[in-house]
Amino acid sequence: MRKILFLIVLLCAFVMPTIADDAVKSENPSIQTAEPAVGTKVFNTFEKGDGILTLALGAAYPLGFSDPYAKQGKRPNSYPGFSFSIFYTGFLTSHWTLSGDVSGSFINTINGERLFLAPISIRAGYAFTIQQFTIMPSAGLGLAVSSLGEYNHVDMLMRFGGSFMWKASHDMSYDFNLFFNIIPQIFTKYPENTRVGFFAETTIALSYYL
Amino acid sequence: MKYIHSIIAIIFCTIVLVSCPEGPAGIFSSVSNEKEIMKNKTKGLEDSSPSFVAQLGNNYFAGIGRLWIKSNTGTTWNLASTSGLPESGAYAASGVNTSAEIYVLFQNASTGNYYGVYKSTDGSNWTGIPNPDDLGNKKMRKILAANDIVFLVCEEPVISGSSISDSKYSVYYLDGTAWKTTGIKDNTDIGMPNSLAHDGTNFWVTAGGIILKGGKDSLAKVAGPDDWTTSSTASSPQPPRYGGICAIDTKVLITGRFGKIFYGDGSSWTSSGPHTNNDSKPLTYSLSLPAYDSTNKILFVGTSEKPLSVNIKKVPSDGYLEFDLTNGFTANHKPLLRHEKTSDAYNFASSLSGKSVTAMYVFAGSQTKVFALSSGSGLWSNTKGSGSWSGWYKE
Repeated sequence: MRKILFLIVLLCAFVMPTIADDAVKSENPSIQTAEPAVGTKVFNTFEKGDGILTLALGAAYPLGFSDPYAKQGKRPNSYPGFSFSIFYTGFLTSHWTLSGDVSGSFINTINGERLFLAPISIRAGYAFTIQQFTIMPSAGLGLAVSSLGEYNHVDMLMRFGGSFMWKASHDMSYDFNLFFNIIPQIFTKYPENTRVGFFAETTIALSYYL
Repeated sequence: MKYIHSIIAIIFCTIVLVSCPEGPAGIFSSVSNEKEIMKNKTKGLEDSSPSFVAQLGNNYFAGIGRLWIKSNTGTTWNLASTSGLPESGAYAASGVNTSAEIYVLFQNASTGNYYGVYKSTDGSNWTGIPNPDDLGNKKMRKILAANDIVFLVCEEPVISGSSISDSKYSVYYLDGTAWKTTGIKDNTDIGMPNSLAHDGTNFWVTAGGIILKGGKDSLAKVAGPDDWTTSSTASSPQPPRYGGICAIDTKVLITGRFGKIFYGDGSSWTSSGPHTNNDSKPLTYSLSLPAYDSTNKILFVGTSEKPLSVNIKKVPSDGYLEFDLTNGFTANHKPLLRHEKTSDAYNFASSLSGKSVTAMYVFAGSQTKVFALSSGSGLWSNTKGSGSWSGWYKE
């Protein structure tokens, strides 16, 4: 089952960038701008059609669970773990972005069981550029695959957060990412097992400007 | 917009390929309901494969390589005293207890040769029991006990030319300080006798694909519920049919290595199963040594991943099956999915779920204590005092 999960993750990693990239390249009505003065032209850090491929590694933090039946919060009963992600960001304009990402987190419970999470999402973001730095908050929806022991489940995902990027050269940057995942896990055969999971990820990344 | 179809296809494929049957504990719910079950574990025993557990007085003994001891109020296991043994580091290969003594078959830790059976009345000082007079080339393999009688199982290979063509089994019972024959001597029809029960009148033994029944000195082959149809030999080995046996009231319950459970007295058998794992492609469990808690009417049956034969290597395991026998054993009796008699789905999910359990033991007394012996995942216990069950904890 884990091999199937891995293949799905790889499949989405290759498909998501294509979708985001093509969405960016769809035609938009041209915008009339005034002709710049002779000898001057304003260049934005990013332009429509730019793309960024990001590889990130870091930590995952289980924040807790919500039990809708007991109407109470539950402790995470687990420890911070390892997280990795790969995502592609395409620029719709010089500021608005559309990103597709695939992540994976390995989290150990208090009894040594291994919880694996794989959030897959599409996010909309906005890039604020200050000289060599870019702050890019984003939010989106997707799916989260979770696995514990022999059991797996696919749930809806709400993902939001942001990236802090330092452009080290003209074609790459070093980033710090902070994202939060909210995953409602709904069971129908055993509805008393329904929970909402809250997780955070902090990663350090390398981005390549395409 | 045109890529919405790709997105929907990806979502559909993900759900179809990844979604699996819901377990009784869930995933996030299992994590959020975990309680610390490892806090009293003994370091060094986490990944062990215990061979037996016995009780003497207020102490429990476990054969995990060497002999370990723990009091019923203690939290960790310690190495037991070996006073009287020929080697301080001797391995405890097999062990049983009667109402007043503990018996252990010790072997040399380096060579594997068996020292013999030793007994103790206090768990500290050991006295050797003389070997059977006709032991010869037989190898001592196992000791069993029921109704305060101790039995010794011996095996001798049958050499044909330069290869082993078969195995001969002999079973003795202990009469005072001497081993006497049970009537099973150099028998090539049976498999390895591995489990013993007493129904109040007769002794019962599971031996591969054969059932033995009778008095302590008159064991004989009887028709079982799932016997071998042909004899098992080295050239044509048959997988063992039976996992183990225990007594329930005046009858016996036999677990099958092909998922079935049989209950009866020999003249007729009620069967349930075959019991399978909770998967989209169910596989039949290989059931191992059972144990019955007569006080609380609960049957515990382990699921072992030990390969059935050279051709049947993939065997599922999921801890143990728990049956509520308050109303007796019935045909197609089903196990409790959430193990709610002695724990709950969350405790089971974080303890024995997915593990291979080779034997279950129940010890009654001021408290009822159940042990699960796993293959490679250590020793687990669940205790019921005057209140409710504690749930499964790692020993």
